[in-house]
Amino acid sequence: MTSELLILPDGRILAQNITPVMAGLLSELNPDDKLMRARAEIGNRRNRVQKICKQ
Amino acid sequence: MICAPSEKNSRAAQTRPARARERAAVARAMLAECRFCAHDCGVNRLAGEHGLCHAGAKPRFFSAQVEVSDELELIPTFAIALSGCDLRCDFCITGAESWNAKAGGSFDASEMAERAERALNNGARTIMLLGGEPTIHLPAALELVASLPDSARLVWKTNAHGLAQARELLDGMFNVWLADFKFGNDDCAQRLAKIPDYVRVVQENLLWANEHSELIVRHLLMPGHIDCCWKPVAEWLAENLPGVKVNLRSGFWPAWQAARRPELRGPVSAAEAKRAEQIAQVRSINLIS
Repeated sequence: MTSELLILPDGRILAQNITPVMAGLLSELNPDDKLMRARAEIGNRRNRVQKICKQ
Repeated sequence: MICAPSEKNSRAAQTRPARARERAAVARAMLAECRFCAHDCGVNRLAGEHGLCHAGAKPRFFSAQVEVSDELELIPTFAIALSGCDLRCDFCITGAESWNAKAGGSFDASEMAERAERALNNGARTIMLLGGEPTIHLPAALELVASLPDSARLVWKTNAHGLAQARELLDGMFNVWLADFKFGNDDCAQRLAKIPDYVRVVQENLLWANEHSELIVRHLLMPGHIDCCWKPVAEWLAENLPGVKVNLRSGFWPAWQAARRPELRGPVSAAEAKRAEQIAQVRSINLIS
């Protein structure tokens, strides 16, 4: 399973099993969604820290 | 006089993986008369008998990946979803896999632990075991814990429908209990998930979890169930678990067999979500995202 999306008739997008990549995409689609932005940033930040530590 | 360490103290000194390994063996033997969840079936799963969850002795999993959909303090999490569940919620978002314990691939605790460790090394903050419902696969869950580092932060994502003997084996195994409180009354639980005596069982589990681990309670808002389900849940939490972290989920997804119920055929309206938040505010519920 990866992420799943449900687009409602009123334009809202529901998402489940959100991967970091999908969070980034959803955040770009709706920059006003602060919670999704936080999810995307956490996903990116944790990965970035790890990469820096490995260098 | 030289005092030998008491059995209790020596057990306390054991690492979590060592305790988990011992308990996994106990749990596996208990499959001969399975009483992990509140259905209390007592079937011999080792001999191929099936209870209401239809789970056998060998678990399967349908997803294992890094996700960021859960509570901010837990993500990124490496989420491992085991097939099969003891509830039958019409609106289950993973109904095909949760209602079918044979869905997905075979679960090997050692292999999954290796994947989980890789995820931790790549930035995952936690490892989350979920379902379906992981309680029905307690032996495998404990085998997984036995294969993971003592320092890993582990999350037990549960429907809080387990029995005391399952909780006893889980004591000290998972850092966080992420527990659902889905229905505010037994009638809705029976109608929508075919579960009797739901409220008492869940409340018992939540009180225990709060004493034995970190607890986060989840409530999925359902359209048409704000007053009958969320309100009594909020009232009980305010009175019995004041300050406990609560994640109020408003993204109801009319999935699986939700269309069987007229009120569950659409999402939660903005007005219902707002009313739900007001109910929380009035009772000083500690909402988290």
